[in-house]
Amino acid sequence: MSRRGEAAGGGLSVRGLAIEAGGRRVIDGLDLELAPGRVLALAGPSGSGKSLTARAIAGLRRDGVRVSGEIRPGPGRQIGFVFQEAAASLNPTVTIGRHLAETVAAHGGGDARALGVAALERAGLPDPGRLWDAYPFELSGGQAQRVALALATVLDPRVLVADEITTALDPVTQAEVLDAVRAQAAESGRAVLLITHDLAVAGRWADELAVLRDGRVAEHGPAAEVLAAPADPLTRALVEAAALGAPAAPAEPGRTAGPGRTAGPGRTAAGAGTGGAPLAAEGVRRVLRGRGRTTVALDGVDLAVAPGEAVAIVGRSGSGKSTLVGALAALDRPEAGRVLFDGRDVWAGRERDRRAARRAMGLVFQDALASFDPRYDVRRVIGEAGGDPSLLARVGLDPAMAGRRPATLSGGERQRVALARALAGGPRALLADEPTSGLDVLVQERILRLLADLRREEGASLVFVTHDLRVARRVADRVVVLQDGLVAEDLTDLSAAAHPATRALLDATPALPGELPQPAL
Amino acid sequence: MAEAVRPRGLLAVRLAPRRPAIAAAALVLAVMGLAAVAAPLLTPYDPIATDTAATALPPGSPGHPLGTDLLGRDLLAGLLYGGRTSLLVGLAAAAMTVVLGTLLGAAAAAGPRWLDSLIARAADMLLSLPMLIVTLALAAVAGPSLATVIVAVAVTSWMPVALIARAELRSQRERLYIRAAYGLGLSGAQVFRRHLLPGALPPVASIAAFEVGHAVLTESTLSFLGLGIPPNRPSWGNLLTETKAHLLTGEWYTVAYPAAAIVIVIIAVNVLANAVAPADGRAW
Amino acid sequence: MRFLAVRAATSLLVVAALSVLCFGLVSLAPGDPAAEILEARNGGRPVPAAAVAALRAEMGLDDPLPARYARWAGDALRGDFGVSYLTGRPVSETLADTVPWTLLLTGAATVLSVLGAVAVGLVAALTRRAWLRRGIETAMFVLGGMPGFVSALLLLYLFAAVWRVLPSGGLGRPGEPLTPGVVLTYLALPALALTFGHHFGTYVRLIQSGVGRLRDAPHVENARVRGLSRWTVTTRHLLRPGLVPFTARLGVGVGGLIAGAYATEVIFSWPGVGRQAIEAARSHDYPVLVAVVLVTGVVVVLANLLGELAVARLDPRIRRSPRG
Repeated sequence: MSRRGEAAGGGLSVRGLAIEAGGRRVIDGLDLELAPGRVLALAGPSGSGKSLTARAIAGLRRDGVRVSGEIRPGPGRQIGFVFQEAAASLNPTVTIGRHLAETVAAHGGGDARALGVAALERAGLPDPGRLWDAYPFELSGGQAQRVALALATVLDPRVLVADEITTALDPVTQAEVLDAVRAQAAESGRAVLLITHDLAVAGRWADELAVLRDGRVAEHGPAAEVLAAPADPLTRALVEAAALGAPAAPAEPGRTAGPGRTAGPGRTAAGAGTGGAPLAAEGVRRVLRGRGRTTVALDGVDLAVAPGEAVAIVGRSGSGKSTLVGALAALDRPEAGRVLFDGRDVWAGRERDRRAARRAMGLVFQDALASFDPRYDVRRVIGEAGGDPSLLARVGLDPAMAGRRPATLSGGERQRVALARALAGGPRALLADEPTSGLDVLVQERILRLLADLRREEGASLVFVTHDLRVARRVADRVVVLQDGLVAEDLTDLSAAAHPATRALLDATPALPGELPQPAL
Repeated sequence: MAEAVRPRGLLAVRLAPRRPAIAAAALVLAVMGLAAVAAPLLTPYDPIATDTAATALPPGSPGHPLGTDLLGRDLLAGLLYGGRTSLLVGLAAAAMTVVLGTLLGAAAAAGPRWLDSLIARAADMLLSLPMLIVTLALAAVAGPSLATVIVAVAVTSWMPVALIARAELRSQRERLYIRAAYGLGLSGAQVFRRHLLPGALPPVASIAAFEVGHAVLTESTLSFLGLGIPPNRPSWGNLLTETKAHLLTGEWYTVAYPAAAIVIVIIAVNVLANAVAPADGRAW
Repeated sequence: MRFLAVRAATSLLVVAALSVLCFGLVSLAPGDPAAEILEARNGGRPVPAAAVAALRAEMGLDDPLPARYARWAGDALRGDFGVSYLTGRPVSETLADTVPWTLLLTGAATVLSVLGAVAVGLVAALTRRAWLRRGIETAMFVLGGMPGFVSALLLLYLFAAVWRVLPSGGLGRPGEPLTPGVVLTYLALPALALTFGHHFGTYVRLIQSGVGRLRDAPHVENARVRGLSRWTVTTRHLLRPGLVPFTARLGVGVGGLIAGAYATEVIFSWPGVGRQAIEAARSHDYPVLVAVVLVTGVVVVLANLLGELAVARLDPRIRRSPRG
């Protein structure tokens, strides 16, 4: 592989890139040109070689991967690279300051402290002096990602490669990090290659969008144009999957309020109080005790879910979303307040009644695989919940899969098995904790559609936790916004959002053209 | 460092399990166990009877296939009867260790917080002492005997078992599939029986096997030092006590038989222990 | 330095527990120390009961157990461990004669095993040759199945009987001056035996897995992509976090080494404290035995403490954990 020297002109130029991994040619003749100051989003489904391309451009090599082609600039101080797992990309035994200083020193020096502090500030970290002596494990996820960004840009490289850097972050933090990336690109004329699977992210933060298919760039153009009028079939499919709300589930009043039911619409019941709700929380307070510190995860939450109603619980990480699901599922006893199922306080009754309440609720977790006993095959997983393999057909799987172990299934298939298990007891309510984060957009779209169908068929209520407002709007009749363990806002219409926490989430959520009501800035 | 279980030397060396090795190890142990049990049928000699007419015979001598020592004791008989003692001590001590350790570990994991920290602290503390020294003091005070050795081994090696059982039960309890099982409406007893116990069993089974090897090692070391099994009852360890000098005078085989037996048993046991141990990356 | 204080306090507690354990064991042991002393001094012949009773009173053996413990512990703190039942010599003198040799032996073995294990472990972790890695793993597995005294006997046989390159034991011939060269010659075999007989395989394994696991870790790749020198990448980003499990084990390992020195010293007739302990244990010379166990225990606890401090130095997660 040849590399031209530090040619004048700047920007990023990739010609004829070919990557072979494990004997398979994943990237085959990829060309990219990116001018200084521009942000290019490189999108594609999982397995399309996005990350391999990013790593090849940064000059990262691994056993069994062969790279050829021409890349400018070559690896070195002109290319910065930010990893997906920010916390893991920092050495846990070395301070942040030392990371920055050693990078500066490796490329000829300068005032390491001044450069490092400036880089931390540019990355949007408010107190760089204090962070200097911190260790990576003392940072939050958002802080770690910003530190990683500062580390990659401390020497002001001409090119920045960012490999899915916001996948693990909540939307507000994601927006802050990507805003910083974009601002830096504009200020210092840096070319940014943004690897992402989220076209909405591409639409909001990238100038250009390139879609990978079969190892080549299938489509490349200004992001807004590509998203508005995708030419390539893959791009079209991705855009459709990403445009969650609009085409798949038009918000008709008749469908959202308890589909197929003659009972009164859930909204009025919920608004009127907890009387008719099958599932409700009243003043629920949960305190989590960890190693040497206690957190008030829920601080008096009221929530009522009507029969057949779908409620989305959204909020930033740490807002108490998952804790609320644990309380609603009658699994975790609240320190104060009541959890009602069918109007009865589950913690006032006997253990047997509590177990009956749990059986009448179907639980789905984000990490489906971890929620299955590793010794069980699919048949036993479903059997333990009282179902049989014929349920697999209902979730779109081949019943012949019953003999397989969940570990051998794909992410989407595992989540379907989890849904089949949740359905086995004939649930009156489904509780789903981020069931689609971490899945490919195309897979996510299919799971969400399945969930909507199942809810309609079963007539069950749905409580759906997500940090993604687009997903929330897609699945739910009502959106409950949590902040710091409190209900900030309870909305049936996102455009009526008034609370700052909701506004912040809305502002931060990227949307495809015409998808979300974007409040005026 | 409460969570970090510190396995001892035997435990921490791990090889990727391979099937032929497992079969071979099981076969070796079976043969050795059978030979020890059937010792009176396999040799006509009394292992401690001296025979002045047949002293210091080399291996291959007629009637004494492995030879005799300087006092005319048959080496094969010593090896077979020694195996009886050593394997008996190994199994008995390991059984005691595992029962004691598992009970304490389970009590720590399931019991109230004060009991948990008491057991965990005590185990941590005792682990930081070289147990051979305590065993030695114990053996010295109680006087050398088979029972002393068994008790000494059990009393000084329950800690890793307890810590592993405790850590295993605790980590199992925090797994998402345990939560999912409760979410299905299962009772605590059902969750324990179906998910917690089967999950915690492989590591405990593995360490139980390692403990057999460890007990054989400790017994042989104590006996070798003259503080374990008294010499009127041959064990692989005490057979080596008197023969050390033979290394320099040419009768190396008097040392080699018992030493090889000890090493082979421990290695075979470790191979089996590796085979039942859960892989590093867990089941998924 | 909250961390240091907590650790030091724990160590003191361990030593105190050990002293109670030792004293308790000896007090519960069968036999009458006064009678044994007098018999030993009388050449093994029985002595009149009145003399025994007088000595019992003089030794304070009729006092309640806690009072005896307090007196014994107080004396021990001042370095007075009583006199040997067998020889009548103050135990502290015996300790002064033997402890330095044991420290020399275990010190040498510690240095050898750390250097050897780091070298072998790094080769196993970083080599791309599968056969080499497998070979090292297998060798370490076999080593893990060898009791310390068996590997000592093997080395003794090879070096002293077959190749005859090293002396089989002791420390110098009678009348020979103990020059450093002579000491080294006699030290070599026991030190080697101690090195390979205890924890060596464990060390190698911990280094191999600790470093091997990090070879392609994101933070190492990040260090490479940031253009750091090979040396910095390897030492700071690969070895420093990669050697944490090994270092964490080292404290316990050194403790085991000191305990293992007992058998090694017997085999090689090394004039250390371990041989004293075994002889004392065989002959029920409790003052010597207790003193040796206690002194060894203190050294082991110190080694553990040093090990923990080393880990804390290497890994800030331990230093800054809320539990201290």
